[in-house]
Amino acid sequence: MENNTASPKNILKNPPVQIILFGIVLCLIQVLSMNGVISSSFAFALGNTLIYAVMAIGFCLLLGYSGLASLGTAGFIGIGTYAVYYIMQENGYPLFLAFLVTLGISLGLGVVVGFISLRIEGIYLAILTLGLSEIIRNVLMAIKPTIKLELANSRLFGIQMNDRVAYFLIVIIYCLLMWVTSNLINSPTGRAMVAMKNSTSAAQAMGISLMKFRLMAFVIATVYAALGGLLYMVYVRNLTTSSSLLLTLTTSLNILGAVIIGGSKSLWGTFVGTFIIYGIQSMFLSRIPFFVKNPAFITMVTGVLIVVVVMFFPGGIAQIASNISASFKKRKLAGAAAAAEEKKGEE
Amino acid sequence: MASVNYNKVAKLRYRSRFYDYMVEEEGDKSCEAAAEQARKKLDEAVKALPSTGITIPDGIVLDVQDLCMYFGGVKAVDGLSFQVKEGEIFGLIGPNGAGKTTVFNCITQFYKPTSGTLHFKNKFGQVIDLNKERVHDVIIHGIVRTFQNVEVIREVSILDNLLIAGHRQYTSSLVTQAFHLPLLKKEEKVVRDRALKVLDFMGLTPYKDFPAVGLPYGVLKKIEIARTLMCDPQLIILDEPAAGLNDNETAELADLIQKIRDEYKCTILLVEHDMGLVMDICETICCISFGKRLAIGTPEEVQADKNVQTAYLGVSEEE
Repeated sequence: MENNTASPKNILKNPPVQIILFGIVLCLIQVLSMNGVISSSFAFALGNTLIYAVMAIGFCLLLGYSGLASLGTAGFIGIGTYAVYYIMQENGYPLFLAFLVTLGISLGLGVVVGFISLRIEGIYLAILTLGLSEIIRNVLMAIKPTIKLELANSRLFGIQMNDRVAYFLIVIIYCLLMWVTSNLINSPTGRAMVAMKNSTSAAQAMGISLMKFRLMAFVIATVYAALGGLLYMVYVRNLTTSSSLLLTLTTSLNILGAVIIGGSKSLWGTFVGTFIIYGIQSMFLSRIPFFVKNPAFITMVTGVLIVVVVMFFPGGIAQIASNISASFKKRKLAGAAAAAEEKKGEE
Repeated sequence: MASVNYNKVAKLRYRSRFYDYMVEEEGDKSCEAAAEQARKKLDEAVKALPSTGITIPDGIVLDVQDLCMYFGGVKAVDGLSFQVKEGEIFGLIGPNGAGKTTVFNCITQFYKPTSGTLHFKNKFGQVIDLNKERVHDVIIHGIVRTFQNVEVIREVSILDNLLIAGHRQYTSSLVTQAFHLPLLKKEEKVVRDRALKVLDFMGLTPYKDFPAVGLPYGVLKKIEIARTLMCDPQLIILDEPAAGLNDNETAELADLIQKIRDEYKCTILLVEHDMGLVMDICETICCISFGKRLAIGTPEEVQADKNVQTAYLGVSEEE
């Protein structure tokens, strides 16, 4: 670990501190919207973006760190949404139980699916998970095409979960998952995943079991996607599976796009990516009359953005950020070197 | 599964070493009891290891008998036998396509041999059948390898490359890792310290924070060797360590290999095309061609062998 000198600049570089600060900022936005400073639809859209950001964190670990491409995210979201519906709406149990059940089901399903499908790699894995996601969607649709969670049934520890409370829950879960994931990335597990992505043979020679870590990454992504589904249901409270795009390939691709735009090896990048794909659209573009009249153009803007980022910044937005900070550092170093030269000259 | 037992022992071994380190280097008195307990547990576990019932002659670390590896009709390795003595530098040579790398891949279980036995005396003093081990478990017995085409993890720093090599030395559970509990932080420090020592030994300290991408080839080759040293090797397998190096670097490498053998008390098995290097440092050389053994012995014996001369230089027409 690095030296923990307690200067304020170093404290800010500490990931948990960054995450907590970000969480506070997100909560402040909601508080401001309660006081009418920011429009409530803006805050609602931000909450929605955060839900997708939760799924994107898991996908970032899967794609950016383990090098596995899955298109099954949407199916696993469905598991979360339907678990909430059946446990809270049909049976009247509290949210906490739905949370546990979602965790359990997605863990189990992730392990089973992963165990079967992770023997193949690359595009074949994407095709397999895509098929699986469609199967899950159709099964869920056959079970019940429309699910709706009554506000009265949505409770966590006796607190009524309206939009605003749910927003805070989303922020808490988002920050918690960010923290856990960044910890995992900076531990032997995360390093094993990167090793596996770069060179399977080197990883194996170093004692890393490919199956174990592929499975781990896959299960984590599955659980995060299912948690995203759970949060979606608590926040939005209704879902028409047959007409909604949530459980279709679109969502899986959007999350893939978000992770790539943001930078597949950056956790903060995933937020920026989801914000560009989901946030900008619902927070800003949908206010411009031109886009309200022609909603198809909104998708076009996202598409152009993806093309631009992939062409010019293959490392995503995170790469732009790191380029800028690197150039600053270079200037600083050059400045220091020049100063040292000058001193030498004086002597 | 035999490897399950070894896995447990290996874990206990690193746990014990971790506590020893905490007591000795960090002066942490609170770990003394834990260190004692860990040592005891390790001793018990080593004693409890079931006997494999395989024997190899004294002083031999790796025993290869009638090794065959066929790819369809291609007999890449065909009935090869040799023995590697403990603490020696063993060279495997042969013309291109002779099956040298295939032999390495069989020993490290990247390929499962078609037939033949591979017996190895592991770190716990037991003789095991390598064919029963999975590819990622070979390392806990003390076999580490490098690759012909440098497989360095390019996305991370040099230091992280070594930490990846130390992967099996962490005993923290997934939960400890997910919440960065104190145990992981301490373990991280212990492994990092070891990595820094290895980097120092290899003379790579100035490069430690460099990302592996874009470094000179010679440095990348050194990183691979450094990685093997991270894993407490019993047998280091080097696949063409001198390929792509200039004369100076090759001479340096020769010294380095001997220094590693003496310092780390391990056996080294290498494939190399640079005959100067092989003849200089190897105590025993085995020459193979088309998967079959041509000659085995000291460098002088192999050089004088008629078959070897024919394989390398062809048959002179006048004879």
